[in-house]
Amino acid sequence: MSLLDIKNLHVHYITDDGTVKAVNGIDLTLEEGETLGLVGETGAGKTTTALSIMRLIPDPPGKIVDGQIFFKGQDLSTLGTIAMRKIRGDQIAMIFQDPMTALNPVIPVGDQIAEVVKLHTDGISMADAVKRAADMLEIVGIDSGRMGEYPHQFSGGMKQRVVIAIALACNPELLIADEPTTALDVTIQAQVLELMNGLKQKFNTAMIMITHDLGVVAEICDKVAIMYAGSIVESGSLRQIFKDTRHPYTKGLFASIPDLNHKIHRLTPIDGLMPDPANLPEGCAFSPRCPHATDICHKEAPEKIEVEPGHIVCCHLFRKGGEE
Amino acid sequence: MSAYLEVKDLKKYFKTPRGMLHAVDGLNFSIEKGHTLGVVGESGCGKSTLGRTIIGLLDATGGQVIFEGKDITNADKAERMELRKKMQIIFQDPFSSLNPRMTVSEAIAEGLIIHKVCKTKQELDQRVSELMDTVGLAERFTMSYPHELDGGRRQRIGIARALALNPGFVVCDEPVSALDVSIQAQILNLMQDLQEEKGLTYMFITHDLSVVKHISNNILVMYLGQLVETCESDELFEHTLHPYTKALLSAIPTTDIDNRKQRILMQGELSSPINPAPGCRFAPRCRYAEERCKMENPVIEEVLPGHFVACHRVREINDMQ
Repeated sequence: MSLLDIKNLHVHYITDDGTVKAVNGIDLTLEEGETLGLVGETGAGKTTTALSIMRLIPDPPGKIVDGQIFFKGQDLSTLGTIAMRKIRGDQIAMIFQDPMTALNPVIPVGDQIAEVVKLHTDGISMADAVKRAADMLEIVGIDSGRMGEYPHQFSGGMKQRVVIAIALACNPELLIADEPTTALDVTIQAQVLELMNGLKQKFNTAMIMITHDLGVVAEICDKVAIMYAGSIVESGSLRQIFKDTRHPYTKGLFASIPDLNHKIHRLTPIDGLMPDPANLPEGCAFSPRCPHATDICHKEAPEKIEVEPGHIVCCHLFRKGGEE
Repeated sequence: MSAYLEVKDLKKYFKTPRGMLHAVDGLNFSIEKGHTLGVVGESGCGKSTLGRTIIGLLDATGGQVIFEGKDITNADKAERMELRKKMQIIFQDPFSSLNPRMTVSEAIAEGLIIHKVCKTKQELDQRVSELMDTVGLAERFTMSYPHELDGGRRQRIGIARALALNPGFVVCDEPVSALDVSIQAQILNLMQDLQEEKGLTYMFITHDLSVVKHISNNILVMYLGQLVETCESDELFEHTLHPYTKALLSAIPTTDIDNRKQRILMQGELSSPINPAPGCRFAPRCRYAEERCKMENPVIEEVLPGHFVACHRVREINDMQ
């Protein structure tokens, strides 16, 4: 049994202006201790996927319209609010993108960490919870003497460390990190990634790393799933995605990144823009921007094809036997 | 030939309740016409302040800015007005740098109207539609408001506004940082095309070394208001000399999974620019720092031909004599 098994997940936001199809039938599995990189541009549905696992989709307007999310065999998508509250923050924790807004500005950081511990540990005394909070701060590299300080007294990188301490305080089995380093400078990003890598190994936590930065994925992930307009267009091991790129969108993403090691005169961006999720094109959602699109791409949605063990591509180019 | 833009010992300090904030502290450099200078540094190193001081949005505390051979540091209002036609800026955040109550065409026309460039309404409309075409904005967006457009299109409006008066020099303050990678590549290509077409000179401010490598002739690396290393773009990546630049380069995550580089992890974070202590500003985070580094500020010296570095121990740590 996998730690996490998402089957055919559909999430829609139903608004007066129409239905926004944010996530359209994604499948994901994650084993214990594994790290999955969920990659895509703004609006691809990465965060919606993460929020569905946490059951934090704002409802209304958001709704899981179809599919199941199995966590250790239990379907989270139908779980009651109270049962979910026990899992959230304890067995599944989340690190949010912006450390500036994720913390409560009027509560000292030590108390914010202790709160999680107190909530999820039966019969623990406040003194023990505070002690645990102090230990957590030391683990993420902050002097526990700063427990009484408020978030505004910390820098961005330090605040993100506090958020990580809160997320890991109850030893979660699954950690969802939503762009944890996007708001940070590169040198601070390097420190935080190093820290997360170390902690992940120490606690054997499985992790979903949501990012738009393929460099970050290369540093930290074992598996990769590329999202586009609410679907996973390509997934596989890190090596399969980075060294044997198949889907035209994934190829486009790699070509868009300026490379430090090679001199190129011009970048080759993907033409056009991501489609409006309230008005997705018929057939393959990438077809209007795809250089290889044929008639069938504009009519039929492509199926998932396993081009090699574990490497799944969702594209009409690979229909017959996995060859282009 | 004298340089197109020359900056001499430029200083910009801000008064704060806790003391003087040294945002830009004694910078010297020049840019040739038609070239791109990439200015790189972490947030808080003074790179945006530098850009704003050069084009006169902020008054310099000391030093000189010489543009086309003329000292423009203390230009008066009328002179500034004239300079606006020659020097422009593209801002970082296309969400906050546009007036939400102006349509695309009004936003682009604003500069043209202020400077009375066009004589008739027809001429103005003509010029606006030319500009929209130049930056790749479809005509159907003429009457759209910024909130109706995505980040990439908004940044195109910012570029059109900057180009409206046909400037020669454009400060680009992190123009692609807020954009997705595929859109980022579109905007970078557009800016390169415009440079080739119009012979523009760019000062490209960014925290992303991989972006500047791609677009710059020369690169200047800043740390807490001071210059730490500057040379030609290729040279910087081939012979990185300053310990800060080395650490900065090694911190960039790479997509090459077979050639992992050895990461130099920097300890701590940027120290405060308010009343900075004497000595090298990078010393508290530098693994090569010794007594001397904490006592005196290193001067910029030409270590290799055309390659300037400010570090006491540059020759030692790079095995050079």
